[in-house]
Amino acid sequence: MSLTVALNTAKQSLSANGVQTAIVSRNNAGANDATYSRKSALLVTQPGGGVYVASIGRAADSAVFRHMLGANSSSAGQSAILSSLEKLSGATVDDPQNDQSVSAKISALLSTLEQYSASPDDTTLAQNVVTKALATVDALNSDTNTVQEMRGQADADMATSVSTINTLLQKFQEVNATIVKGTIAGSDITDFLDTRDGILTSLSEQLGIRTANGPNNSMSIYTDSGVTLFDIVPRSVTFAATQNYTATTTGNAVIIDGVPVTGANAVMPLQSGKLVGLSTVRDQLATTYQSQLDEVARGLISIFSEADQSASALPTLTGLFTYTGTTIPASATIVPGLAGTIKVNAAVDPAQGGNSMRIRDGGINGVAYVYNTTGAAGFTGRISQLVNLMTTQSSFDPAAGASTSASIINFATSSTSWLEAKRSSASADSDYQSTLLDRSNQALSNVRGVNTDDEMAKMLELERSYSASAKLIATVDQMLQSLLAAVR
Amino acid sequence: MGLYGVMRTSVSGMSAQTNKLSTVADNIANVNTVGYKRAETEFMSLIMPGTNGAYNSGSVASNVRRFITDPGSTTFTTSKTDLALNGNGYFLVSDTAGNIMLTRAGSFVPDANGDLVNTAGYYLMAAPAGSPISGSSTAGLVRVNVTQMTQQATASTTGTVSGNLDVNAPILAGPPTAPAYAYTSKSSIVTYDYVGRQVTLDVYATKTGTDKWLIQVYDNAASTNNGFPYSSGPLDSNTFTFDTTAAGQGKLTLASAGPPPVPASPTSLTAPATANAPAFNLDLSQLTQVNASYSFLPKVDGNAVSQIDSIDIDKMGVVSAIFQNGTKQNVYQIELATVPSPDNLDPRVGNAYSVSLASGSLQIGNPGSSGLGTIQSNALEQSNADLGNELTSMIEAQRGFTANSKVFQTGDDLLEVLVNLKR
Repeated sequence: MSLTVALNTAKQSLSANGVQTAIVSRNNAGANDATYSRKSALLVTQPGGGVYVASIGRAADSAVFRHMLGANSSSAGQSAILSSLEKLSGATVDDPQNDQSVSAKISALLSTLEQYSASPDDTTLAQNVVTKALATVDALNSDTNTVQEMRGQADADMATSVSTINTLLQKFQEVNATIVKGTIAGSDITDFLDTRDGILTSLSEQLGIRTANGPNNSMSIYTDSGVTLFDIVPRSVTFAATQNYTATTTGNAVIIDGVPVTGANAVMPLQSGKLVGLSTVRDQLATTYQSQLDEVARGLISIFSEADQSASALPTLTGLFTYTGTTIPASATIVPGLAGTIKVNAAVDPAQGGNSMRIRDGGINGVAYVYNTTGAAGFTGRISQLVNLMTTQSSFDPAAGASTSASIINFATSSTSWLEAKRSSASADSDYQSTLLDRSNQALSNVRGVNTDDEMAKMLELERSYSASAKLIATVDQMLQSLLAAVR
Repeated sequence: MGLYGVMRTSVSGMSAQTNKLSTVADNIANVNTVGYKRAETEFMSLIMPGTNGAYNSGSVASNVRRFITDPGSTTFTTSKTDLALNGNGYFLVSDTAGNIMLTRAGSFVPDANGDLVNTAGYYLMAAPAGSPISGSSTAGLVRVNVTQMTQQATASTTGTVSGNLDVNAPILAGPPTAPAYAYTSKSSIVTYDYVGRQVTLDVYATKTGTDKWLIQVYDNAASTNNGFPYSSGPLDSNTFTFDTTAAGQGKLTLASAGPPPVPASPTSLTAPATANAPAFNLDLSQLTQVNASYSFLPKVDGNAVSQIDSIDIDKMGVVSAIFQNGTKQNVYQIELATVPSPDNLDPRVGNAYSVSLASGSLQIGNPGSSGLGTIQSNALEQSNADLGNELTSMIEAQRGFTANSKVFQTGDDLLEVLVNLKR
């Protein structure tokens, strides 16, 4: 028996060596793949019959992995907020050289108005005031467009995110079933476990998740607020995208398994992830900024309004700045979308057939509203009143999130500051979260990553062991050869 | 007798050595045959009666002995249906005619019908799962078929939930009602009906008072886009109370005599039986209400209908089917057998042995019991013949044969001398 057993054992050693070498090769191939985890062969000795590879192990640490998923969600959420805010401030307030911000436009309007009050008979200066008023209106209109476009973009991104989630959940179902089958059958499932971890990583970027392990390596996924995402079958994740946004549009909520998880009416609101970032931008940051623009518009309309001068108790109506109506909106109350509809009164704008001298004289709304009743060329009462009003404190809606009592210029400046403050805090948060994610990834890589040095050392060991087995086979062959030579 | 006797003795010696050479030839030929058991020729002297003065040479008789109990070494393969035995038992196999035999040759592969058959054409026999066979009767053994397994649907009857309800959740007015349908948390559970269809149950938890939770189970099929409103009422609902004192630490309230007496909280909900599904009991006794976020982790029995994906054979001989939906079901129990004297089994073609008078009757049992041994999947038992041994035996037989022929030649020479005495 013994020689045949020796041959057999050497043969098994060769085949076990082969499997181990294949694993070293796999490890090397996966060394640069972030989702790859180090594999190792678990050898078992069979009594009287050599050695065989019983199973293939995988380096993993579920606690570190969970931590990485959490960091990934937070980081993705923050970076979604940051990139939106950067776009918004880039398009509205970011470039002081250009004086593109609403507050700069209003300042320019005030200084022109002050110049005009020094020489009220100068039509060129009156024309200048109209030009500055037009620039202010343009800034408010285009900022409103920018804000609403950004909300629309966030909405579209949410729709993309939801479809990504659904695709990932479908993939997860397949991989999960393969893992369960493989676990029962005892086959090598380590690569599928890597794939599943990769899917979870992608999923955690979209929304915060928690996982629960079931029998045979199966897994269920829940959102960080506890809504079932996957348990045996994927749950439906739905979102109805809204195409066009106006200031009064309210975006739809993402609904997972019948539960609204984003927006003001969320029952079990998500805590982190890209979806949360996008919905914060769409439903909070952008709408707050829009409210501030609306308040600026409302402030301008009410400052430049014309009161009845004929003592016949006519209502106060819109003056230089007007909108779709002519009545003055209630004080300190946001009129949604006003910044989008504010315009310069055609009765003042010479380009539309108006007369710019009405800024000095009044009477935009008819003779009852004429301030300069004598028709004096040096009349400054009205202009001084306007300059005065622009620098006087008035109240603004606290819901707008900027100053509640300030002059129109200061309010516009506080709105700019609010946006910059939000951006700077989002930038700091995003830096912090991405550092945290880097650290988590590093910790995870320390646990499951491939060390090429180790693999090379192992390869050398395997090479030696393989040579030894091959030598043994050659020796047994020689021994049998000499026995055969003895037969004549 | 004399010279003739010498010649006859040497002839018997030559034929005995030929026998030995035959077994050696067989052993060498089968040195790589899976499950082969080597044969060895043993000799026995036959002595003729004689006196002190005259020796009558007798002869030698050969007797073939088979080393059936001697295990061969194990080698590992990549096929799951390659089976080796660690122990003294034998696989029960049958030929196409249905005769039951024993073998250690376990290189089974599915044939065209999916029946496991080994290289020699013998079918692996096993007992259907759940009705193991023991004793000496082979009645009830069936062929192991690895393709025609379809999993029957099993309807879900019980589910166990572990989880937590957030103690800090705000108190809501009452059950979710139109138009707001206010509830605190929701989860869904997948169950199966009698024919394996998935039935999703929506479970709503609504905090209706301090430590009081209304838990309702709705049928998802009656929902509107997976949520309220439902076209039919809850399948079951009850108010669960939690004990936040030192005694309960957030678990469901247990009854206490008081004072004041405290009624126990319910611990489960039951969706009533329908025409298509049995009653489903949802055990919520592990639920807690502590300062942690909401979680709801259900474990539900039952499964859908599924086709076979692969099979698995464990150490104890249980053949289980792994279905495409990731569930596992035991299908066969491979039985092992032995006889009181295995070396006296009757050898048949293809490394199989049948029971003979000398071997004694079959003793069938489960792997792992009474020394029958365990089954190793992905492995094969090698031949127990060793090339070195056999070559040595061959040289022995050759030398023995030559020596016998020399004796014959000597007798012949002497007879020739005798014949030549007469001129």
